[in-house]
Amino acid sequence: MGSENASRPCSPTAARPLKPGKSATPPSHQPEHSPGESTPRIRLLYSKSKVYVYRSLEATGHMCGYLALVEQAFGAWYLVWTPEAAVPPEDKKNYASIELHPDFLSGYEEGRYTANDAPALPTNEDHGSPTSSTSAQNHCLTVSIPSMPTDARQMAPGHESTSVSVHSPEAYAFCLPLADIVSLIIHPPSLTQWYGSVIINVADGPDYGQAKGSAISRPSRRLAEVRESKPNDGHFSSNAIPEATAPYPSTYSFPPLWFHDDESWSTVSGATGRHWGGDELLIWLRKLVQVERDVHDPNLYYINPSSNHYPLQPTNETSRVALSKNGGGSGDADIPEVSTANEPLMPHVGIGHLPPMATMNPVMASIKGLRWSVLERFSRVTKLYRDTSANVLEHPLGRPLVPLLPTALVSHVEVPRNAQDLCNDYESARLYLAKWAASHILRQEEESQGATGPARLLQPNTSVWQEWAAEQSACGEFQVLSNTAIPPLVRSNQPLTVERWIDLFEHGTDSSEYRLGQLKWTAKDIQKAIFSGGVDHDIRPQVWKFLLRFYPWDSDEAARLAIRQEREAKYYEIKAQWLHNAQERLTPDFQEQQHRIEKDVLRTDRTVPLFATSDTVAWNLEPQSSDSADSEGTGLPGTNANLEIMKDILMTYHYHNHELGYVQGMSDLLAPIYAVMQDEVEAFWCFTHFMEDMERNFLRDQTGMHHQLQTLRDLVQFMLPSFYQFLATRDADNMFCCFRWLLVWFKREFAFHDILMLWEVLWSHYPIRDFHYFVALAILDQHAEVIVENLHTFDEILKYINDLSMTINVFSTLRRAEVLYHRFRQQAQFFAAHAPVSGSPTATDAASGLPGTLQSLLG
Amino acid sequence: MSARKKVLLKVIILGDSGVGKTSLMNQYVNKKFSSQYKATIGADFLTKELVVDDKLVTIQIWDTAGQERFQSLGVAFYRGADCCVLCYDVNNAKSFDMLDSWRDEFLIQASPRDPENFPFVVLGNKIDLEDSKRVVTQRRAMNWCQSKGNIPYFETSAKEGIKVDVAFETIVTNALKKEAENDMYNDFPEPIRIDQDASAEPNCAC
Repeated sequence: MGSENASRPCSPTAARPLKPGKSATPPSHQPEHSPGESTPRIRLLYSKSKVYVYRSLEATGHMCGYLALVEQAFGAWYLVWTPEAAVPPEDKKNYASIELHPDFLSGYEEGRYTANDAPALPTNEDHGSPTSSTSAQNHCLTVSIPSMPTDARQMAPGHESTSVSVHSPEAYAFCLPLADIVSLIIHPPSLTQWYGSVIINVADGPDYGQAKGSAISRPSRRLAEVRESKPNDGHFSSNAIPEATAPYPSTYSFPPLWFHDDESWSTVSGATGRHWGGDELLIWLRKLVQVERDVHDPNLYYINPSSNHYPLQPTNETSRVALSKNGGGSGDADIPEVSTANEPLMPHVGIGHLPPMATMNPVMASIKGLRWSVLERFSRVTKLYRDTSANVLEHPLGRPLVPLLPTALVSHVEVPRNAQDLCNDYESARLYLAKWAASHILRQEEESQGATGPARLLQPNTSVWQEWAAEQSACGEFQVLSNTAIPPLVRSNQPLTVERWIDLFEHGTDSSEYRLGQLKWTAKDIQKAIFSGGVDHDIRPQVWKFLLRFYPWDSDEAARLAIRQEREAKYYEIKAQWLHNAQERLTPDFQEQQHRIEKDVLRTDRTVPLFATSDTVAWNLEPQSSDSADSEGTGLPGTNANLEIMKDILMTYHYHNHELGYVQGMSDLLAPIYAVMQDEVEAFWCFTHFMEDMERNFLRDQTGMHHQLQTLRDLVQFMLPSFYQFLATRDADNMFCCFRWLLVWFKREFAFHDILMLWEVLWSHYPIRDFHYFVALAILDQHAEVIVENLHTFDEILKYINDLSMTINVFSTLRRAEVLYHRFRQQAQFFAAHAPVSGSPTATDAASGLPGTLQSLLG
Repeated sequence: MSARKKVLLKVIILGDSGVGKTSLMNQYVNKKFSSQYKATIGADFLTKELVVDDKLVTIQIWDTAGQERFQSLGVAFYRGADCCVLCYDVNNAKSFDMLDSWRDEFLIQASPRDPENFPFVVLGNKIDLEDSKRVVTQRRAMNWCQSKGNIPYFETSAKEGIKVDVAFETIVTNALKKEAENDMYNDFPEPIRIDQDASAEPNCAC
């Protein structure tokens, strides 16, 4: 006991005045303990707000308080937990200023590094003050500690307890001399244990707790089983349920203290990023007492092991067992009720090298550096956490987080169990309900269409974003990301009109600037205009020829005429390879292609008037089958002139791009182009150029599709992490449910006329070439909530997404896609700026922190 | 607990593009035929509920794209299948010749527990067309089915609804048998599947 008294850097009776230079920073110097006061004022060394004791697992049973290290009049140090309610209002600012004082915060860093080297007994080896390395000692802020006796040395056990209800937070307050603490069990935050915890084990007190307490019922929950201690020298007592029967005769564990760092002043103010409360506590303890980490149990720390409280031979298995037994099952005390089941999921931090500090693992620390509040969003980005993060929400300790989570995520957590059981037998019912919910949302959205801004459109996610942004800006330290930072949307839904299009061309012949028929706008400007609202249907045949690179943007009329002639000749040259080549037509390759094309073309968009009729005999059938070229003969639908041209185009494409040939899906890509052009040559070349972009989807080895699915998957993971997490747990994160979307560019998802608009928007390559990923993301974003709430399996998700076909609003989807694109950029920039230091295991890409697939989407 | 067990049968329809997979599925589930089905892209399924031996059975019929190029996706859809329906067009020899490779591909990708005895059913579709069009005889088809372990064979017309129901009843019956066997297996912990390695079938190369 006595050794700790060696240093009294700033005793309450001899408080030094503040340094002149510091006078502005800390709050005013509190008056020292005056004899007239009922409770003594004690010097505050360290304080941490929002340290919780859980009386029960429900959030209502969580009691918030201050954990503090105080120095009593005679230099004895105490670890104190005081519920917020019991803190006198005038003391709160002292707690705050100690917690927030820059010197203290910088002290953590110092402490962190010195402690890493050699934990020393500061009182013996460090001459003078243990805190002399910082100027913090100069600020003698004092508080009154209700739970501390006026004279700690003569305090009688159970002194104040009679007036305190066992259920009130005050009943859990304690004030422990450091000398009485035997050990601490410290669990840093991890993704499975959202908040870090500290359990205090104190020395035994054989006669303690047997006198008065039997009448007071103990709280039923294990967490609330406060096992009080009283040191045997009798000079100390705390008042926290002192009467509770102590089941263990020698060592007592206090209930875990949970450090809600995300709420604490120091975190909210942005002052500490990379430490958590337990870490800070250790740093401060090391300045006062000797702290040693158990070599076997990385979470166990001995306090003053050389003192005689606890034999310091912990280096064997039995000591650990003994401790956890004595600690009242401390091992599971911080993982209540699920300890055994979840044990394998709890990665113990620091096993192996056992640094002396209870630091978070580097990943956690770097994420924490990004702010606790964005943990949810960004943690999912790192694949490391893909599997563990789901446990957070299912974990009982994750539950208290629920109120803090984004709304979308809350719904994820709170899917009622019984409803789930009810639906289990009726998957189709679930699917039906999901669709109903989606249509309801859609209706609401359409009703509010008048007031559609991005914020309104994206309500669920925007609110998350706004919360986040609000916090960022409140902190002032981080780049402010808010809705206002999203540039005004380009999307107008106003198609480029015929008049405007005509006006874009140079009509005079005498203009020096432009040649006749040359476009007067830059390609970029026109592309932007097309992106904003598509084009009037009447000018599509013209505009599409530019979009699909049949004509260069800067061509004039003469050049276009020449191009048209050249392309026509070229087309018929290719077509001639098969059309009038009897030998070729007998090859298995030709016949196989012909069969494929035939089957697919006759099944393509037959509801579109152009393709609806069946009034023609197939043109290019082989002689032996020409007599049966009617629908009855082949079992296929009949054909018409337009379908026959489509077949020719696709067969010619097969000869143009022999490597690839015709693959199912291409007829879907050709139909809109042909329908707009209604010209074989132009449709062919426009299709061919379109295929240059789409070719990757049809490769024999499917690498292109896999890459696209991977890109979409990464994008969803980055932008909709909770939804991604859901998909992953349902084995749907392969994104196969979006295969059709990507393969034929949503052709099967939207009505034909919507596809015309959607594709010209995508062809504008504004703002990026691969904007279709954001269209996909927008559809998923729109339905994520409904899917998460209602659907359970990969099958259901696939079915739901397939059945979205023809129900999706193309305008709102494009608007949402644009917002998501801007958000993606911002988030990527933010992420790059705060990416974990290279070398950290989280860095997917050390340079920007973005997966490689997403780099190209930055534009 | 098992008394209330819900039975879900997963049935995969495979076969060349255009043989009528989507039509067969729709005829069985919805009793409808349309000549306007589009070529299937990716995969989709329909479900139908039946009562078999006083048990409520949900049959989930998976329809897939016919072009072999997209088969690499199959692995996501074939997993857990209880029965595989191989379809061809009796008027198209190529589609019949492809049955072998469809069957092999399925066994590779789905890697069922007991590939030798995995329930298949073969459907020869489009028998409503004139006889002169027919190129695959019934005998040829039955020979093939016999050589593959007596696979049940049906000649169907999705358009006219001929033999579609009876074919699917057999599918359900065989799938239920398979399911019952699976239950026996499932009494044991899932992850250790030594029998996989012992199987004689060519397994996934990857």
